[in-house]
Amino acid sequence: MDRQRRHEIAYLPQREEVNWDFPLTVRGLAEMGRYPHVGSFGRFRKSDRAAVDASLESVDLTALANRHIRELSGGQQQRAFLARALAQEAHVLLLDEPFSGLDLPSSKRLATLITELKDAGHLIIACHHDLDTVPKIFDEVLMLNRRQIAFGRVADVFDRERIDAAFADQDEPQGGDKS
Amino acid sequence: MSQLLEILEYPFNQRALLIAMLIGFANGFLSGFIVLRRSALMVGSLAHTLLPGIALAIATFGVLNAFTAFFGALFAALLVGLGAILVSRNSRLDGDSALAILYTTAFAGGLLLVDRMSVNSELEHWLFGNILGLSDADLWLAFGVSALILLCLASLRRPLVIMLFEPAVAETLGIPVRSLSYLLMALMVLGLITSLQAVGCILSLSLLVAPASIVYLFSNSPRALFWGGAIIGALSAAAAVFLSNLLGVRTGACIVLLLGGLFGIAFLISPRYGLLAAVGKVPSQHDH
Repeated sequence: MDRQRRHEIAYLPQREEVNWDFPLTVRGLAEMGRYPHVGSFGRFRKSDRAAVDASLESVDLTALANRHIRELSGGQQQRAFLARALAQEAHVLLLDEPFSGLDLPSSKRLATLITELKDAGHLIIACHHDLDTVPKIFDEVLMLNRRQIAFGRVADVFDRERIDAAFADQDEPQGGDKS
Repeated sequence: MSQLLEILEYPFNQRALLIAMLIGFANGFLSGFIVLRRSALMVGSLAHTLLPGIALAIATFGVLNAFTAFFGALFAALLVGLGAILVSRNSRLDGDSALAILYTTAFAGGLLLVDRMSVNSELEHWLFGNILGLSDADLWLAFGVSALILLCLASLRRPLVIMLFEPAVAETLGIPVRSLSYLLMALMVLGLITSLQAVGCILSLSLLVAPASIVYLFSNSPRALFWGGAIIGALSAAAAVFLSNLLGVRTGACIVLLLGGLFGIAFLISPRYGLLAAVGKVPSQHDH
């Protein structure tokens, strides 16, 4: 990928993969997203600070900006990572099991946020295993079970038969959904 | 007070104080990166490769002085450190196991080398430090190496911190993760070699881990970790020079004991992460 396009894609890791003891505040995490714009030696400008502020604002974490990342709830942690992606000005967001381990209110809130981001023109690609919520959150779905089972609009392809095929007889059921 | 000033009347004490503070500062700064990288044990094994490095220096150059020891130790540590990365990247073995094999092999080789040479008394200085016996050349070496470490780390702090937090994400952001981790490894070796003069290779690990660990219990800012670690490292080393003079004990051991003591206090009293704060408190709010 060429240097100018580096910021276009942001990856949100699974929460279990994150070192939550790292000395990092919510704001510090969002500031990391500015790296592709600022570089190793560039100065952190007013515009960078504004982008960080705006990203925290849009995930509703402004009030918690100085909290350590461990001192957040699961849903807040996901939103903090989304703030980094927004500060990065990424258009494509890759989410790895964003809903896993979240309680119901947090899941709903994250789903709303994802929908808002989609409406704002972001492409959201998520690995997702909760069948019930697929139609509510996503527009398109790619179903995998070692090979591609189906790909298309959720309304067209997300049916019983294909879901059964996606979870059928293989040792490790795999699913990948896409909006 | 007059006793302290008296200590400073001797040139070798002045030099020792200066070197101790330089080394303490640079190693303390570096310790922040080691704590964040969670690689204290790896640095410990590298510290042990300094002995075969020194043996190698004597065998190769015939003399043991600051420069030959420097190159011998650098060679051995780089060989072991980079070798471990190479083995773990290209086999299914994890880095720690690879390192354990390589450093014990190197240490054993070093022992055989030392056995074959008539060991001079100086070897003890390399094992346990001899800060009072240092020359002006040692001072310049410590100064140069410390400056190099600080310059590299301070200017590359931003990408380094992202890399230490999430290497995979760092790569997607365009950070040269592989080169940076080699660089960090090389700087750790340099830090070890400088602290060798003050505390010796067996205890040098302390200066490279303890300072930032103390700050880690109080702060959530990487910047505080680096600069706070540097200041704690410098002040502990300086205090140890005076203390060891007053008590007539080894300076290197004094530095390490001071750092250990400070860590113990921090571990007790830290308002957020300390033992006293944890007692009677329900486990802090974790993810839900």
